[in-house]
Amino acid sequence: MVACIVDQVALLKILAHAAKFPSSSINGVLLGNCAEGSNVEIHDVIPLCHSTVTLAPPLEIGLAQVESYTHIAGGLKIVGYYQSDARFGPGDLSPLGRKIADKVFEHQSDAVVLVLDNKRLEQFCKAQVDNPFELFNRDGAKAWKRAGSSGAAADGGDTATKLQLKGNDWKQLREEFFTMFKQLKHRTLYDFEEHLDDPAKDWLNRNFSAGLKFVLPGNAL
Amino acid sequence: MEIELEEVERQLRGAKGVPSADKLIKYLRLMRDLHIRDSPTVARYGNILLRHYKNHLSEEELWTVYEQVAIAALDSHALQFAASVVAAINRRFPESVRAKRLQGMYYEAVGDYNKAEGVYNDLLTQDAANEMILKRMVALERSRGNLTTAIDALRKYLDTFANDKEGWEELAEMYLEVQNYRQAAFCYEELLMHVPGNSSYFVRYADVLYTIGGPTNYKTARSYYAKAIELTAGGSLRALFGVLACSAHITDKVTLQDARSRAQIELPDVSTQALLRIYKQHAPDKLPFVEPILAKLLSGHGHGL
Repeated sequence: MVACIVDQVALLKILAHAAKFPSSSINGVLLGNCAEGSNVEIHDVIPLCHSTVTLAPPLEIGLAQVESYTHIAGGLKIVGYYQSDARFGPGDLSPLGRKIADKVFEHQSDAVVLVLDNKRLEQFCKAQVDNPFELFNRDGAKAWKRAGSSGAAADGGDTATKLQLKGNDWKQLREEFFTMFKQLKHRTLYDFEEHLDDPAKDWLNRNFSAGLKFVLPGNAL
Repeated sequence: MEIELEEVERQLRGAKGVPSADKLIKYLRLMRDLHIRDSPTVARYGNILLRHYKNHLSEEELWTVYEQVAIAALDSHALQFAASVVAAINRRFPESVRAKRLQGMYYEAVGDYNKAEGVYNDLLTQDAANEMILKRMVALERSRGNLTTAIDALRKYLDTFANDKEGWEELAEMYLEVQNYRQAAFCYEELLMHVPGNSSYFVRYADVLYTIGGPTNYKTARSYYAKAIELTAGGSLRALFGVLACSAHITDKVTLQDARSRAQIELPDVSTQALLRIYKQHAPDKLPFVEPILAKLLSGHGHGL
């Protein structure tokens, strides 16, 4: 069985993106590594859109720049896609989201999708649930299915069937999220759309990641 | 105004103890004028203002603030607080449709959509063409997830109130959500007619056409991106990238005949130079990522990205 292991900083960035634009649908790409037959590792995310998740140009240009970055910087590849819906409903992968995920899948056959489920996010904040994210992967029939559901590779094949948090401390993730939120750090996260409207805004969010090291005492990121 | 807002926000955040009345009043005024949505902060500061400084406001501004705070509280899901503010407003204005709609909005916020619908239907029997309530019905359906019903209701509303800019924007958003790009394009055409100088409508319209695709649409989109570049004096990254993305999809050869065809031939190069200049100045660390993309788009071959 193959797992999908995600770094805390990646999930914090998705949560920050969602917190910054609470009434919008948001999306972005997952960066990491996955060798054939081994775990999918997610080390970082690039937030893309919050007001034009349905329009091609910002997505295409964003994906192209991120890809360019991965080629030049090396070390990380695009390994998936994330989104969260504006509406407070069950966290499903929208038809449009599936289309975008398909595009990512063309370049990366082990691609995964993370959906931030709003109802579970509410429970997460109330410490009723550990993990507010839903993992999707591709089954043989070319559809995106929730990981571990009967449609996904039940034969324990190479698709990631579980979302694991590196260090496995969901409680710490929650505390970090609250600290970050109280200090309004999520407002210093910029997505690609914001960069298009103001080029000085860094969609790589290097200051954000560095800032997290100080926000979270005793946490080696 | 945005800079003023940043300044007063900073002052409020840095205030020791209870912030001063004039700063709170200024903040809430700027948020109203700029139509910015930051409900938790508005609710928080509004609460302080209403608790400590009611007498600093004129009667008219006081109740405008009450309404602003009520909506912000509902938007932040601060339901108990919202209920008290809504109740205060309804006590002061017992016959008002505007006040009663806040009751409906409260029920929407708690998720009791049927009750909200009841409130709105009652109000509509008194005044069937009340714009505010008709729009609440659209919002209600949208919250319920009935996009088709919401779209129909909004279309009907816009038949009567065709000048409602926000209405057309919301309708466009809903069409995009259900991926009906053609109808979304139609909405942006309406907006372009109503507000001819708005560069972001030009960009959005072009974005929608590009998303639909096809040779005619790429050409039309390109001309709208070009207009947006003109309106923003070459400052819009979205429009500059847009022009290049369209050009990469357009394979027709244009012969140099006149000023217009010259402009068309030169457009990709000019846009590329503008983009490089902007990145060199504002985001030089991104130049290495952008240069290969620009090179690829310029070389065309009708492949796009």
